[in-house]
Amino acid sequence: MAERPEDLNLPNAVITRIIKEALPDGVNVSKEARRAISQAASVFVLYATSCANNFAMKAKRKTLNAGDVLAAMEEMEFERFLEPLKEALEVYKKGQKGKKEVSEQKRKDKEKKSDLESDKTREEEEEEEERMEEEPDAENEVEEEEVEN
Amino acid sequence: MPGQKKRYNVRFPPTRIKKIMQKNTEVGRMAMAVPVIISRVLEMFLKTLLTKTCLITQSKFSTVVSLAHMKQCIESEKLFHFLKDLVEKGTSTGTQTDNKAMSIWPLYRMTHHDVSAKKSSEVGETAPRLSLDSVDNDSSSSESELYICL
Repeated sequence: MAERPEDLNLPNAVITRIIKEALPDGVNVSKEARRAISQAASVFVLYATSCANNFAMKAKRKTLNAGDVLAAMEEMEFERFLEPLKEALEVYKKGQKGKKEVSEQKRKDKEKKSDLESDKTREEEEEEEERMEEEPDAENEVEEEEVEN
Repeated sequence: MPGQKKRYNVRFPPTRIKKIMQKNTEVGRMAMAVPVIISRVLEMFLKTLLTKTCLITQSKFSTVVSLAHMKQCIESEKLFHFLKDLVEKGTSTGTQTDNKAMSIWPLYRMTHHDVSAKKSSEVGETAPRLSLDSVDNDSSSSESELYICL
């Protein structure tokens, strides 16, 4: 892969936003400190990844899952984060489930529609279904395969 | 999508997070939820770091959070000790941002070696440690390049 320095850093806009929300009004951050914060973010991700990966490997899994990340947080002594994280995870799973229901509902509606219409319409639907992203149940923890490197 | 809560702009892009995570060659696939919760925990972590650093800033009657305050915060809290190296090297020139983040964490195995991109900014320092792109390291130009060799 070619060099991609920007990929190692997280977007400045988000970092800036977080800084703004964390600090009281009137307090600013020096350029150097800002840079250090951005780097700290990357280092944190790497550290957490390393820890989480250890848990996955222990369980003989090749796919990192949310549980590994939670275990990593405990390992890193960030227990304070566990509760909010679990909540965030629930919200995410519900969101995924909601998406799935929406797409299933859409599909049902279309099926009904096709009963009333001709075969030509049916062909068009099938194309749409193929294009539609299937959001699987969050419980199954879909794995992303990315053949990078 | 309808019903999605957009929490301002404090969410990190999942693809970017995943790319960073995959710098660790031992990491392969991950569940879709992982970058999502990493984003959330990252936000919490940064806020914790900033809040604590700010206390130091205020104790020094300053309104600008400086690198020195961060350094002090990191050293004083065990929780942040994994960042120690980052601020140790943090006082070099401001350009080696990316290299620094990647080079200080020795635990993960990366696709490239430990690129310690300390340049001529360090007076009296010996040549940089093992680096793949040593040819380019001599330049004192402002942009340092991180070559990820696969």
